[in-house]
Amino acid sequence: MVEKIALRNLGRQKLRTTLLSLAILGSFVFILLVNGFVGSIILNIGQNASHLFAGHLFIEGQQRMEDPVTGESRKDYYIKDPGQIEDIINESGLEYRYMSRRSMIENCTLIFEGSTVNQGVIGADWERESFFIDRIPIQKGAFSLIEEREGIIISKAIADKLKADVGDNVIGRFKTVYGQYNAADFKIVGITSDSGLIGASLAYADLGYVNELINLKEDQYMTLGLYFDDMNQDFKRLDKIADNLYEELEKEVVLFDRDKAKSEENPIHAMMKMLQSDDWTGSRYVLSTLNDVLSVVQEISLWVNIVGYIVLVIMLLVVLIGLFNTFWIVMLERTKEIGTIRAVGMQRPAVFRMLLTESVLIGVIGMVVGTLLSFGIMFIVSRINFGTDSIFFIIMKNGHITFYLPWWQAVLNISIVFMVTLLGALIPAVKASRLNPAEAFQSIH
Amino acid sequence: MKKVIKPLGMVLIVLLISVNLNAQDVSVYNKKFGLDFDQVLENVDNIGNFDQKDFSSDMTIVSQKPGEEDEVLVTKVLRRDYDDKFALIILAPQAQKGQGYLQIGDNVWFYDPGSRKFEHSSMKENIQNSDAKNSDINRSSLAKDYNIIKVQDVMLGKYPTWKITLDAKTENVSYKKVELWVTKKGSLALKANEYGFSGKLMRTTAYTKYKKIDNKYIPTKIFIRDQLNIGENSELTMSNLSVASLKDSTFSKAFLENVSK
Repeated sequence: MVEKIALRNLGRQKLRTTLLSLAILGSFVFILLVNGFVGSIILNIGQNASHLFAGHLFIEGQQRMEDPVTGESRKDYYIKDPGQIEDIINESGLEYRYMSRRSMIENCTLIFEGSTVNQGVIGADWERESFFIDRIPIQKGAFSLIEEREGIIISKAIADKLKADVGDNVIGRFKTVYGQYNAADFKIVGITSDSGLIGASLAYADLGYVNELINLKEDQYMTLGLYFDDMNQDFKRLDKIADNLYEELEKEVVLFDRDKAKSEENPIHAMMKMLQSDDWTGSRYVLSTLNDVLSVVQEISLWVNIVGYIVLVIMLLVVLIGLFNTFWIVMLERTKEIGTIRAVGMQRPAVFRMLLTESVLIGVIGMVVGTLLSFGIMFIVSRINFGTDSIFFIIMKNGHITFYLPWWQAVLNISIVFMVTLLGALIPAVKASRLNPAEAFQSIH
Repeated sequence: MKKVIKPLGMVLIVLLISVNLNAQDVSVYNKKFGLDFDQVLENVDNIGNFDQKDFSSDMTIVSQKPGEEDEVLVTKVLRRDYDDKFALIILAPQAQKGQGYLQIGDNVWFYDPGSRKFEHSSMKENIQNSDAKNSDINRSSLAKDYNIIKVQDVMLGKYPTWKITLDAKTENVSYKKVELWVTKKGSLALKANEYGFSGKLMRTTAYTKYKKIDNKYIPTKIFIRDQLNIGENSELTMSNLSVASLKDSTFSKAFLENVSK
């Protein structure tokens, strides 16, 4: 009964109801879009990075020793005994989807007919990494041709800079893992669609060939990656997996202190500092996860969300004041009416509930329409294809902006708006419920 | 027992032969030409190394790359070979003025006055955008870093030379293989072909002019040709050579910082 009266009252004041609902709608759309966009950034970066780096969790090796001939101390970056590491992982019972084995030629200068470009060249075992092949979009040529020993796949941006095409032979100039200069021929067998700033600076070649060029043995490599199912929405699980694996590895090999790095503000920076230290010899391993890389992104996202909520609160404060003013005027305007319904038997709590219900209904209308409008905007925006050659590729999904709102954020947003609508009408509702029917009849308002 | 001795014996014989073969590589040429080529290589090093004095010079590097304008780098080179110290300070162009390299023993740093930071570097690194490396103008250590695997008696232009083929002793040396043309008289290096780990010719260096200072010979004109990117060359010209003593503080981070101010 109270709810019907409240609804009727709202219908009697369409303009007022509409304006208030629009104010709430605007705030709600704003926070939904901000939360949704920020939520998807984390997901998309995680997913894109896991494909780009072929894994969620990584193990790298570093050797530090004195050169027996020159006496100079040197650091070499590769996993000394990959078999041992793989055995530890498999014996630990860890369930992973894929294991990637990769070496990399850093700072490779590709030379073609007078043009030069600096490039990283990733060597991967493509027979075992077929999962990742599907995620490297080939524009020209074929991935299968990388089986040609000297085959290389480069991005369109690099191909354009070199003015080279599929079938052309390019020369690569680089250093071995021991710092010795080397040069080799590569044959372009494929050109990929650009995939943003990171993808454009990476080329792909055969692991065996890359190892040969950088003076690693056939069965050695630099980085082991583990890719897990359903990881992209649950990064806390990744940290737990890493901690467990760290414990298993620690029993048999020496690792850089992961806890020490994690405790720092920037774990990746802290880890890099540890890697550069010179107070040890022998072999050491680094265990890192995408979380370490994404921690900075997660912090930025957190701050964007916080700022979003601050803006929301400011917007809702304005709505709150508007609601208070409106319902105060409503209470004054309907003093006689309130007196009448009190006289015919409506109790104080019911009067109180009636005004609050009106306010809450305004909030509900704003939220429902706001939600539908947000979904509409999200749908339209997500249909736009920004391409994969933008530097913002990493925050998008295949060139599309996406939105992801965790359930707890949706509940939080609804709760905030709900509280605001209640607060806005609270005092007028209390005042209205305390009106004396006799005095109300005599009121000139 | 007999069954064990026989295979062991075979292994020993193979080892002896291989050792002898290696020893004979250099000694074959020593015998053939009547020279100790290990000593020749040491002479190549010593002819340009200052074991008791400091060395300084001005150096200009002109770099050419296809499709680009020539770049000119003016630098000051400071060496204390007997203490394994080296410094190079960039004087021009203005954009790079004050940048420099400092080597003390195993440690090498690059200094950037813009950021006022020292970054770890290497003597194997190129000097800015040129094809010249820090090691090209520092003291020579061929005898320490390389084994001689072949010697040929050849003419290089009008000069009778030994063409000495060197193989790196360790993986840490810049180039796996070097072919070096050395004058028979005076053991001056005239030309070097440097090969990468995979055996590809990477660059050719020609030492076209020398100057004598304090009984040592310093190449004052060096031409480096990049054999991978044809058209990419660097020419180094040394001038104002001096063996005057340098202050100890010259080979310090503080010196580089002060010079750049």
